Amino acid sequence: MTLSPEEFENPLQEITRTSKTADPCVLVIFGATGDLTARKLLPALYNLAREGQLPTHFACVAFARRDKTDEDFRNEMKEAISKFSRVKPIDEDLWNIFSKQLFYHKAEFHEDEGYESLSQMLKKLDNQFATKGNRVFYLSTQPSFFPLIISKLNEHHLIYNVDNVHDKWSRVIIEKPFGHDLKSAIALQQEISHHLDESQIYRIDHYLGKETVQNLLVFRFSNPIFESVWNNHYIDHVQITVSEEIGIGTRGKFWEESGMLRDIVQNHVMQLLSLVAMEPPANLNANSIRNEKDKVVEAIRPFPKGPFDKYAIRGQYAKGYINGMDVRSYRQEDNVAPDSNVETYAALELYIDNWRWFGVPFYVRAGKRLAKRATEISISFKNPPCVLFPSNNKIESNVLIIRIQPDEGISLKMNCKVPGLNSPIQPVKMDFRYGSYFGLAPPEAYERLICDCMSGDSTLFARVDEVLASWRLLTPLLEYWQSSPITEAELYPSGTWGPAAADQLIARENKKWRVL
Amino acid sequence: MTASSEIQITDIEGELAHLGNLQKEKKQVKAALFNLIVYAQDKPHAERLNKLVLNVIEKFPCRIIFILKNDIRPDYLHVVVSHQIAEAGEQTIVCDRIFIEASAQNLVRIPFIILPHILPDLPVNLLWGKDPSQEKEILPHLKPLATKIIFASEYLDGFRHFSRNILSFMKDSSVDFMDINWALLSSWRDVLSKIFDTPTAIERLQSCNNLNIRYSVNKNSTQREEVHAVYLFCWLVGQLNWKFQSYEKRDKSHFLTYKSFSNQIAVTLTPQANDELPQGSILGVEIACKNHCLYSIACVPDATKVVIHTSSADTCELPITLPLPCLRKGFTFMKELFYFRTTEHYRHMLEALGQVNW
Repeated sequence: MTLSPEEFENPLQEITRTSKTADPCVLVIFGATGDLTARKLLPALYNLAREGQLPTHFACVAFARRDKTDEDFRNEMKEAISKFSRVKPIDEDLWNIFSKQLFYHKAEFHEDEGYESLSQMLKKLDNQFATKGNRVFYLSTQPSFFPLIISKLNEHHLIYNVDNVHDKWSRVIIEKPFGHDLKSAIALQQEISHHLDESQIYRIDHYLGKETVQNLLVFRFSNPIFESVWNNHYIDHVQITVSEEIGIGTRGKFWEESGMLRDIVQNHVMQLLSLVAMEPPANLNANSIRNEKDKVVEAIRPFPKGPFDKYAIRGQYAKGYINGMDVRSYRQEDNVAPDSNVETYAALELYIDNWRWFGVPFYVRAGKRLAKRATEISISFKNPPCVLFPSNNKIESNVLIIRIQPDEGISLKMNCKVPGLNSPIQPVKMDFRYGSYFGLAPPEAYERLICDCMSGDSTLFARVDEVLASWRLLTPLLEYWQSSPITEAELYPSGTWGPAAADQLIARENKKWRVL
Repeated sequence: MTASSEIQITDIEGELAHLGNLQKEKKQVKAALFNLIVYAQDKPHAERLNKLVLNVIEKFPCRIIFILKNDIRPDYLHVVVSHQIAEAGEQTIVCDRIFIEASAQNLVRIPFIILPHILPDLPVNLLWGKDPSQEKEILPHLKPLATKIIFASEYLDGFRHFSRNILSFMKDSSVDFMDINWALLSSWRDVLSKIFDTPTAIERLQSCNNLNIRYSVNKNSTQREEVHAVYLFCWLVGQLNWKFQSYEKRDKSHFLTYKSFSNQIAVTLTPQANDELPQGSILGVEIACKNHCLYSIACVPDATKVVIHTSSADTCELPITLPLPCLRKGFTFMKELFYFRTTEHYRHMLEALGQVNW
């Protein structure tokens, strides 16, 4: 008696201890000669293979314009993996097997012959590796190429219509940014949705693949003690900080078209905010979680018309010192205009108008060339309703700090009595550090995300409605900033915590940015 | 491990506090995710369990309470407190370790000695170097507190007897169990479930008429080197509902026959000399099915991978490779031991194990 795939329950599979099984597939990386493939994607695939998480039947094809052979590509990737893998040195035995699954396909994005020959190549790989016609297309290219590539893939029947084809699947992973403002995001979505169903689109935001970000859901929804105070009755304000010490490096050209709001705030920061603020989902299905995240973004109060300065501060890094070394200003960086208007710092005061959060300010800030590298979420709780202790005692508010990177962990600041007679009150910290408790290096974000895409789990990928909602919120601010030149006051010395106006933004409500 | 000296039972907490101060001065980090209470019935077992404990704390720091039965004198009772140091990533983590040696006569005192020193609010995991269904002095007192009982079935007394005792013990208990040998087999179970992962493949497996499992034996083999092979095979029996027909042991190999829905299956468990791998490691599985379909799954020499050859009357597929996580010390094994619940698969395996008069 033959069971259909829907009826089949593998008697050899233990549900409770089985990790996600990715389906057999071929992964095609467009723009594979770029930095992302060498630094992140191939090391991720290698580590998945090392941990037995790569599908049994798998191949990877690099689709790019440069002239290379399979062997050239494999050698380059071996070097990249040796340098960038989280586990070193490279396992030669594993590499010998893994490398035989890597192929290079030289073609131009706009030429039909390239796609025709890719189609032939994929059919051959299906026979060789039993990948069953399943495809993941990773678009690691400039966003302007997305519609072209997707349309060509469709034209050459490399992506399948989900209504007609059920025995195999095709998925497309798109790197951020998804559009550069609301209009372009809508246009991009319209173009690609001619060829793809939403279920086939995986908008990657690598922050969602981080262990500490995934821990947010576990922390919130498996610890009722916190969920019961996770609202405007008890929380005074929330701060989200994404701070980098480094400058823009060699990405001047990219940064001039992007800026902090597009590169970090619209995606990473909004993802963190929605995970902190969301309601408990009905279950752990991708759509249940993403529904709740989208509701948060939709509920964020739009910026009022008029000057944005009351709620949004921008900055651009000037000369300064990082780790004792002189660093140049943004405008002195390569490929940056000497009178550039692009922000390298943004701080916003946001409000979520729903029952849980009404009246609680969310202060978010993101910047380059700040005092240190840190990404954290801090939840500051309200002070006690009345003061029991003598007035010479300063009661500090309780603060729950979730450190996303580095020094990943969670700490809680609370007040204790200093031992002795008539003693003051002293804030102390309860601290949990990932590194102390779980000694090994966790999987990199891309490992988790690629594996999830191959398994068909879109939980950790952004859905179109939440993307468009965040563009809807931020586009007016982008347009305002684009039309007004950066002022002297908006320049901040590298190595500080940003422009003074950002301190004034939060000080208006008698609050201060956390010292990280 | 830090230097240690014998102390009085009443000084355990004091000594832990003293070590805690020393650790702070050295700016070391002390951590404990759970309590780990270990019982070894003799020194060779203690050495083996201690190696396992060292691997545990590298991944999951814990407070260790190590109990060793030692009949050096009838009234022997000896307590040592120290810090066990684990190099975990870039950090040096220290774990409290309370080591108690006691004669058989003093074992009854052990639960009362250790109860005050169990860290509250943290799971209590018992690592038992003896058939837990047979241990009556310490375990009954600790079982109500335990989150999990982990035991090594190499110490068991006959498969059939073991199967019945453990099944009965599990039935009467709400505590979770983990058999170390079952945990060590998880990678092979994963491999087989990945190979036979479609209805067609399972049907083929059901139609097999010949199954051979090869396992390593080395020069200094002690008893029970066939545990993993037997477990793996009994797991297949339990999950695929094969019916036992006959058993014979000849020249150290085991020969069994089973019946599936439609055919007879001849099973061989074959020892093979191998001094490189720990004894009892599974070296390969060969399965011959109807229509000349053959699966050959063989371990590479260092047992980090398996190579799978599949062929039928019409085709010969290219070999594929699957990893076998290093299960004697890796993170995967530790997660298996401490964080995964034992499923019905284990119970079915035990039931199949108990059907044969080994």
